[in-house]
Amino acid sequence: MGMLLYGLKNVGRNKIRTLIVVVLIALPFFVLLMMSSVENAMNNQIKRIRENVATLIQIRPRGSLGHINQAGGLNRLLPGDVTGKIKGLSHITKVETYLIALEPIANYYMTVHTGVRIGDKKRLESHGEVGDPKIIKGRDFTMEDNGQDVAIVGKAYAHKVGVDVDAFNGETYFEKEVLRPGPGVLKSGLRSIGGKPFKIVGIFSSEYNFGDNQMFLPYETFKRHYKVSEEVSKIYITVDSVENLEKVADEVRKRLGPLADVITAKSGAKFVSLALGTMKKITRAWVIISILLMILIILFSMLLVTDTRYKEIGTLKAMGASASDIGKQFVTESVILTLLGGILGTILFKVMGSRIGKDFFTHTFYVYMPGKYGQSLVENIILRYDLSIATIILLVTVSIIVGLIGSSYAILKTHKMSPMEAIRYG
Amino acid sequence: MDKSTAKLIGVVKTYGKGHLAVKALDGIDLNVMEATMTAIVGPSGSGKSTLLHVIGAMDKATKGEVEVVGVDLNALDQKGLAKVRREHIGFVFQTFNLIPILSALENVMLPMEFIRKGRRQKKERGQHLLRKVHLDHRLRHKPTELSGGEQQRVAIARALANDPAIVLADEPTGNLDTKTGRIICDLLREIAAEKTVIVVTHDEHIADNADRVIYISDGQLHA
Repeated sequence: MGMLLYGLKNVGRNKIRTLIVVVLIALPFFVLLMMSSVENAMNNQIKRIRENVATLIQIRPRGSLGHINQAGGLNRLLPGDVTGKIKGLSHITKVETYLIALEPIANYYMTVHTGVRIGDKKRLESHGEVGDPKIIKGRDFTMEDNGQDVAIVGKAYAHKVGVDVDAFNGETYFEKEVLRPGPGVLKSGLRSIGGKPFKIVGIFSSEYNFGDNQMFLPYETFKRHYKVSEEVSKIYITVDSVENLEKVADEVRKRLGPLADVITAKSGAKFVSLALGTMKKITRAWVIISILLMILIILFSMLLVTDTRYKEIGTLKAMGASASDIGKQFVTESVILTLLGGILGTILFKVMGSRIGKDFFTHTFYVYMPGKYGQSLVENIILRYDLSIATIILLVTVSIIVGLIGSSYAILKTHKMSPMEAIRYG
Repeated sequence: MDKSTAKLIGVVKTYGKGHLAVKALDGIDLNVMEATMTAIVGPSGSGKSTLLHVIGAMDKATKGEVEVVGVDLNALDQKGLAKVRREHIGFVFQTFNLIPILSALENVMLPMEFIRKGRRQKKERGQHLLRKVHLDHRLRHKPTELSGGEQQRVAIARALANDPAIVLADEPTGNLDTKTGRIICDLLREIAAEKTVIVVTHDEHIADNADRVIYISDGQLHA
C-alpha cells in the first residue's frame, strides 16, 4: 500500500467535496481548452498570413484599382504582355493573374466580380493578401468549371442576390435581373453579367465584411462575359522568401516602369498580425487566469484537507513518515482531483464546445476587435473541438503542475506540524 | 545483564515562555530496561503523556539528557527524530488513530512504507501481525467495520510493524470496556516478553500487570 495509493484513496473519502472540486476544476479547464483551440486557430491564421503576405507582391495599373469597368475601361488595365515582362525573374515561385469588375447590385450596393484561374488563390479585393476564404457551403472550382457559367460567392453577396445560405444544397441559380445597376453609378463602363442563369456552386465566408461581397468566376468565364481579351486587372507574385521580397519588387518596378504600381503587402500583414497578436495575448491571459484559478481551488481544497485530517497527519508523523511521504499523498490527491476535473472539462469541451464555442469566442474576443473585423472574424475562425494527443498532453501537464503547486502549501503546513500537537488537538 | 532501552537524566520540559511558562516535566530521571512493561500512572495534567512523547521522540526535552535505543535524542533534528520513530518506536493511541480509508491490513502495512519495504514483505508481515492479534479474519475490513477492541488490536499490530525496540501506549484501554481492556492488556504483556513496553494508563489492571509502575505528579516521578 504505497503513499500514492493512499493519496488515490483519499480522493474518494469525501465524495461531495471531490465532486465540488472536480466541477470547479472542470470549468477553468474548459476555458483553457477553448483558449487553446482559439490560440491554435490564431497560430494557423498567423502562419497563413506569414506564408501568404510577407512574400507577396501586388502589381496593378498605375493609379488604378484595375477594375475593368472603371472610367477608362479596358485601357486602364495592365496590358496582356505584362506577365512576359516579369518572366525569368529569379526568386519568383508563383505568378497569379486576376480580372476584376466592380458591380452594383440590388439596393445600390457595390460588389466585386473576380476572374480567377482554376487552382489559383481566390483573393479578396479588400484583403487579397490573405486569399482563399473558407468555402462554407458547396464546393470549390474544378478544371471542368473553366469557361462555364458557374460562380462561388461570398455570404453577403449570396444574401443580396436572394440565396438562402442555410438552405443552400450545393448549387443554385440566380439571374441577371437581380443584378440591377444603380442609377448612374459607374454606368459608363458597366458590363453586367447577363444572358443566361448563373449557377452558384459554392459559398464562402471571408474574414472581412467587404470580402463577403465578392463573386469569383473562372477566368475564362469572366473573359467571355466581360469581353476581355488579354488585359489583366492585377497580378500577384509570390517570392521564395521575405528576404528577397524587396529585391524582386525593385526589379519588377524597373521592368514595368510607369505602367504599374508595384506594392508589397507589408502594412496589411502588419495590421492583421497586430490584431491577431492582440488576440493571442488575450488567449494567454485567459490561460493564465484559468490555471491560477485551478491552483487556487486545489490550494484551498488541500488546506481544508489538512485541517480535517490533522490527527491523521499527526499519526503518520508519529509513525515516522517523512515530509516527502506525507507530501506524496497530497500531490497524488491534488493531481488526481485536477485530472478528474480536467477530464470533465475535456468532456464538456467535446460535447458542448462546438455549440457554445462561437458565442464564447464572441464574448471573449469580439469586444476587443475593430468593429468591421470582429464579426467576420468570429464567423470565420476555425475552432477545433477534437481531442488530440496535444490535448491529452495538456491535460496531464496541467494536472501535474496544478497538483504540485496546489498541494505545496498543504505540504509546507504539515511539514511544520508537530505530531504530538496534531494527535492531541486533531 | 539487563540492558537499558530508554534513559532520561534530569529531563525538564517547559511549554511557553516567561510568566506563562508551564513545567510539564521537572527533573525526570528514569531508566527503562528492555523487554519490560512499565506503567506510568498519575492524575490528569501530571505530565504522563509528555513523558511518553519525550521518550517517543515526538517532542524534545527543554533540558536534560534523553537516550533511546542508544541514540541521544537531543542531538537530533526533526528529520532524525522521525527516523528514530519509524525504526525504533511503535505507538498505540487511546483513540486507535487508524486511517479510516485503509483496511486493517493496509493500516498495518503503512509504517513499513516509511522504511521502504517491498510490497510482498509488507503484506506478509502485515498478515502475520494481524494473525498474532487474532484478526486474520478481518484483513480487508475498514476501521469502521471493526469493534473498539478490534481496532486497538489493529493499532497494536501496526505499532509492531517495523519491529520496534519500544512500544509506547497512551491510555490504550481508555476507550474500551473492561473485558476488551483486559484482552489489550494481555496483548501488551505478551509483547513485553520481547520488547520494551511503556504504557501511560489509568487502568489498574494494566498497572497490576506491569513489571514496574511509575507515579508521576506535577512533572516529577515518585517511585
